[in-house]
Amino acid sequence: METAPLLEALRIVKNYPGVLALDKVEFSLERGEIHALLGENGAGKSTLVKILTGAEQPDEGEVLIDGDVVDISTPRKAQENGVAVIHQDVSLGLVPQLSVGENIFLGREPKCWPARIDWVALYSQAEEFLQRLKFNPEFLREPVGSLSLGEQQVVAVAKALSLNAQIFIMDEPTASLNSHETEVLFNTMRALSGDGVGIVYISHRLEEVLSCAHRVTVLRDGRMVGTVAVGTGVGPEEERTVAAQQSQIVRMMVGHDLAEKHPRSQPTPGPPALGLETVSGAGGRFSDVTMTVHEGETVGIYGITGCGSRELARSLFGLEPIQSGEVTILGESKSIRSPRDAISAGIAFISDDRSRDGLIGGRSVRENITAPILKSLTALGVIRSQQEVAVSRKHVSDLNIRTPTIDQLVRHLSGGNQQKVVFAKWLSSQARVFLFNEPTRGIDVAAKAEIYRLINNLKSNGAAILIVSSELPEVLGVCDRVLVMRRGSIVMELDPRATETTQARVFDIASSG
Amino acid sequence: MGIIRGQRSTTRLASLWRAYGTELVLLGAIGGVLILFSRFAPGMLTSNNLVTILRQMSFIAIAALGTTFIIISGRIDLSIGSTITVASTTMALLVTRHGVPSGVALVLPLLIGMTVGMANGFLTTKARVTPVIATLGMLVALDGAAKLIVGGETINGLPKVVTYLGSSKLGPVPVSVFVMLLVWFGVEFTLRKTSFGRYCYHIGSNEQAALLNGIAVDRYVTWFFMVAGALSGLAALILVGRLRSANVNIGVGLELQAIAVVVIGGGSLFGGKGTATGTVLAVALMAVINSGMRLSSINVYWQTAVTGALIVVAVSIDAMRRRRDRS
Amino acid sequence: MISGRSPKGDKRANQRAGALLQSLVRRGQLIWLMVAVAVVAMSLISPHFLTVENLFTNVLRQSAVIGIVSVGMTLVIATRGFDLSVGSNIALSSSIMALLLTESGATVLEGVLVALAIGAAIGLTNGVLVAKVRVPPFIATLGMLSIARGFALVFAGTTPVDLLPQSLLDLGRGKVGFLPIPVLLLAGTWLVAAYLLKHTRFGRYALAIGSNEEGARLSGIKVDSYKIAHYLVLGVLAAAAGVVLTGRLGAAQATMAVGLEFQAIAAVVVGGTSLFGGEAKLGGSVGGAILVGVLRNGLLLRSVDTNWINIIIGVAMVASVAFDGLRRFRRKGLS
Repeated sequence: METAPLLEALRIVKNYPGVLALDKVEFSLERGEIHALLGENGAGKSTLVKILTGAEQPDEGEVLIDGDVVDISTPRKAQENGVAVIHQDVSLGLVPQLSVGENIFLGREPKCWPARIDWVALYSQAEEFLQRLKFNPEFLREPVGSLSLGEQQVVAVAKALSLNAQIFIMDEPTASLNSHETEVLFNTMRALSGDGVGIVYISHRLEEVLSCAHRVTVLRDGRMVGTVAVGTGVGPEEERTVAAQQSQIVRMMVGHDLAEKHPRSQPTPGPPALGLETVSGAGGRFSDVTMTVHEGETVGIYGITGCGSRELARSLFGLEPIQSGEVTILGESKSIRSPRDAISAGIAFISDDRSRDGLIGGRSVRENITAPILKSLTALGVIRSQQEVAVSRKHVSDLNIRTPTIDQLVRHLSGGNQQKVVFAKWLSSQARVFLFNEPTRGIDVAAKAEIYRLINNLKSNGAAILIVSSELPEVLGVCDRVLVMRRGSIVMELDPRATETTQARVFDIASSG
Repeated sequence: MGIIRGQRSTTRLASLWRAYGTELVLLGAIGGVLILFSRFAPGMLTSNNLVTILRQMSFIAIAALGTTFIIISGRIDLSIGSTITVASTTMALLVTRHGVPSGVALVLPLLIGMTVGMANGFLTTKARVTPVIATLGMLVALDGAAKLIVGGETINGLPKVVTYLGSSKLGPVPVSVFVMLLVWFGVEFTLRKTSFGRYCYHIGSNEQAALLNGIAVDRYVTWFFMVAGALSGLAALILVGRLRSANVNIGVGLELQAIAVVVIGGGSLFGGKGTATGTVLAVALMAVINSGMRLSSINVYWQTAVTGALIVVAVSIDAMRRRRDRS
Repeated sequence: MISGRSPKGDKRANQRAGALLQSLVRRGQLIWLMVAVAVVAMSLISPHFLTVENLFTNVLRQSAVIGIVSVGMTLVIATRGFDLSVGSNIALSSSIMALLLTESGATVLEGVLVALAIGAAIGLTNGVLVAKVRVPPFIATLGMLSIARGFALVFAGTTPVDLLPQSLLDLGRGKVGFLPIPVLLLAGTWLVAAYLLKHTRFGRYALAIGSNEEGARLSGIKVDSYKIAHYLVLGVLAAAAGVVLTGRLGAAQATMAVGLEFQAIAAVVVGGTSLFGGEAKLGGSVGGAILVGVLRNGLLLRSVDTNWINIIIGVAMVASVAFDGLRRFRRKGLS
């Protein structure tokens, strides 16, 4: 006798301008199952999640719950249909100053009289939910803000449970948890699945996924590559099976992407431009990093989420404190404690979040391009307009930025062109060292190619380029040298041109251990 | 192939409107109000009255032009009024009772204003107190200080050199109007054409991005407060000149008017917007409305209510505009 | 309980004082210690301060007026809001009430109801502006400060409206037993507010909204409606405080209560409630109001300019906010 799956997504298609995010993706979830969703950045995981939780609508396809087509066109409706989402940033839905019990029932507190909250009922029911999750109810009356992130996760889960959620979608929940908290979360998830709840678990971390999931579905470039059932037994026979499954999954994730898509020009390495000597960041996100980037070469740092590469890049631009170690720029030791220091040392920083990290959306293209060098375009404080216009126009045409005029507000440009304005800005500042943090995230395919071309241009002009990226094909295709970072340290350096440097191998190095 | 998402029309007309729209609307409003009141208020359009309006405008326009910097940079200054009070009473006292030479007395209000500005700047940048609270505290402290300095007295007998700016004329036009024009030009030029002004807009638009472009935000914000303070001092000088006296009631309620006027002139309390011309035109509009109400014998206390209502309307429009832009 | 003042059993008194101090600081109720210190200081400065008559007639009555407003202000500040219009609220609602009582022959009950209604209207407008139109609270209420004050001046001019009915005066000047009526009203307001904050959605949601507005919204709480309700309640409380104040002064004037909002906010902030929202220390606010009252009275008796107090209050407020800000950021780390 066949019962319908708890959740089924059929032939889901989703288009964004210029990008096919999901291409006839199929996904199913059974009752009591923990089903992991794996894939690289841009593979389509978050889009699928948004569709399942009502934040976005698919262009084609349908979603069924318990065999019936459902309308989950808004988050509210998704919630009413029993879908709950636990975000990576758990503090989104919790109120830190109120107690755990209050948070669980926030907005739906049981009442005594018309006005008085029935505390007894509230706390006893909250206790029940926590016990279902095998979580210690001693925190019931503590303010949520005093709990650790892992404990807050559990509260968020309890809250969703109290909303009669049957389908939990957990989006990278372990990203900010330590190993103990992760274990607590997994126990919670096992308790839930034992109760018949279905869990969709999205993650980067293969080993975690393998330790708790029943099935694993891999997405790549918007397509569903395959689904693998994961065994959880013990014994040598099982171990080999697990290892085999692991490599199978890795192969599915990274595929055989064409390196031709990301042409790499010949490096002409000159003297060292950026040198790090046992640099450690405050907060322990990365430690004892030693590396060099020469003029005219592109070095890539690859790692999975949380490896510390992002923090390293930010620290080199003065956005996060460096605790120890020495940084050398063009042969001189520099102390970089703020973006100003970095800019005057000749460093440029291009991040994954344009609007937050340096582009002023409400100002014009020309003002953005000249922002870091404005002082040099002034005489006695007065801006020399002609010069400014000339500089801006030159960069706009050099980089082929599509904008009606240089006075167009940057926020009206497309994503790719905005990124080009960022490039133009740094080019005008005549930086010699370029730090890229996920440079092509969220950019359509065509613009990506242009950005790689720009990077190669920079390289041939003698710039030293450091690219932090979690997109494997990009790193292997564009960089001359690849450093793999794992849990805050650089674990290996690889030559992307060597035949044994396959994507699978790099991924392996980055995630195991 | 770059896909241009939601592109606004960039015809000449449209970009002119975006740049100067507020100013044009204000000009129109001023004209409209003048015509409206000319029906009910005797003597509204006489050159005498217009000169009076200009003269009454001048001192608040100067103070508001200083506030413009603060609001463009995304902050607020509630201590302008009390700064004027302290600057005028201190100067008046020192000149009349303690024999401070008039030359020094001319510079004193500006110095006092700059000092207050520096304190405000320090409180909001280094001590990380939000500008509302910092300047509110400053307001009270200064107010109290002024009352301590002169109590309830009104200080008279100020030398002519000191009152020159406020009460003299050059031909038919009061000197204060010239000063206002000078400051207007100066601020407009600074905002449009200097890096100091450009940074003001950048800091107000996206402070994080400004930091990432290497702009020393804290330093510039302190400068903005100092400029606002100095201009308040100048305004105090003019006011004292016109009244030929100083007492503790001088600057009361001015901060609200200054903020109102900057916002009505196109400034956004969220930062990144505002112009000198818009501010001045808004001052003119309020002055014309006040004059009209006075000449038509409308209860002058309506002014207070009208000011408050105008600021609420202007800020509401700004808030709604902001929401539209974000979505 | 100030060490050095108790002559006998010094050591034990010191120990007890130390323990009390620690528990006060731990429970964030330093305000009562400050009140105690202030009382002592004032009684040293002015011989007339510590008389029963002074304490009950002047200090407590005045503090009660500020206190009633502070209680309402605590609620609004808990939602991360702010209300600068309460002084003008008092002026407008009391002036209209006084005019009705003296010129239109309304009964005291009718007059008080009208005052409360006006207060409610002002609060409602504030709430709508902040919650629906999304005007920043201090601007919305700053504008309302002007509007309300303006209207008060329009309707009542600058002359005081006196010759008010006795029953109104009794509200401000009367006693029940030995307790002044304003104090009773304050106590009642405090109790009701404490109940609301602990046991009703109205109160709990105020904390939720201040603590994480987006999270509250995501949980289905009608944030906008509640915010409007909070401002409305503050408006009514302000008007009520105004009625008491008018009774006590014996007259209403359009220029009354200038700066009262500032005293109320200072009382709340110094009393330990954070301007960042999410907490509501009612006891602290009441204590803060009493502190303000004590300081004003004591220094007035000594003919010290009240403006020194304003300076001190201003400084204390800024310091409390700075301290609170540091406390928050240190806890959160660099985020």
